[in-house]
Amino acid sequence: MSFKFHSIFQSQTFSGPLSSRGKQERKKKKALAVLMLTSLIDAFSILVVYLLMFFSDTGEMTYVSSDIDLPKASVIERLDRYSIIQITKAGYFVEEKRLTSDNMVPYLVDLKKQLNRSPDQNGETGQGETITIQADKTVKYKQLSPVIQACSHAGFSNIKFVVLSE
Amino acid sequence: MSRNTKDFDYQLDLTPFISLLSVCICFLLLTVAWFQIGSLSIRQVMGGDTSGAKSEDKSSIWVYIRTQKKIEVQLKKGKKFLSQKFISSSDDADTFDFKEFKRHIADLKKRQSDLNEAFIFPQEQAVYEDIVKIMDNIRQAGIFSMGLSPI
Repeated sequence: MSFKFHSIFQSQTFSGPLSSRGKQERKKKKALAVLMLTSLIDAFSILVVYLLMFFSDTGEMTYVSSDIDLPKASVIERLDRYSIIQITKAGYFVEEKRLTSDNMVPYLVDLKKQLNRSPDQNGETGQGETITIQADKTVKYKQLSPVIQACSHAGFSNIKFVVLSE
Repeated sequence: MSRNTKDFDYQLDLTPFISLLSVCICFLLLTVAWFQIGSLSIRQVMGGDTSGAKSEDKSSIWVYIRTQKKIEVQLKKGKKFLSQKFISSSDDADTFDFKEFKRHIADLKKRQSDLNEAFIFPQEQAVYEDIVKIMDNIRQAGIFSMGLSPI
């Protein structure tokens, strides 16, 4: 008993008269065009594996301003969604509202009150303990220090610096 | 013995497989995170008083960023001063020697198994990137509780 196995990758076949010669010849010959899907499926599989490696399962979208060049670190924690303070050369931005070091504390105090009142996406209140700082890597500490102090004065006990994974 | 001479025409329909892969690729392209963003947690340390170091018997590292090219690393047990080391830049480097710093922190961690806290005291001209690198090196040594002192 003999089986003639067609390759599964040659299974998509299209047959039809391709020759443009005379009618007689067309009747006699039938061209079999075999579409090779091996390379296509290989490429698709590699692409899927590659994209799976970069898949983000947190579902969090973190917006990083184009003005900010984040520093890199190797031992990092997962970044959850908290209120964001951006420190750029142009100044301080809290949730995209421009602030100065003078009016930052009252604003953060109000923000903390709001956060403690409103439930987060899991339905839990009291998320106002943590704040995230996005700062450009060239920023000097004299620009960063007032923000850390303001956060502490406002009652944000846990401060997270946003970094890129090395 | 007679042999069956009929060909067994075996065909597998790949259309659903290709469709599935195409949908997967589209979904993954939309949800992909090209940059892995994470965070480093700290708490504030008020001035030189490390209220974070509540236990007097606990060992802790105190890192003072003196200049851009020089840092001082102190090892303390409670308020007791155990060791001190200055780390400077190597030759033409713009910043101090991070490799030396990393080695030193790893040595301290080996020596003091209860070492789980670090406090960083940057001067006002310290660059944020260097502070993050210091924090990262300390975390690499297995010390995760960190405090940062304001100016």
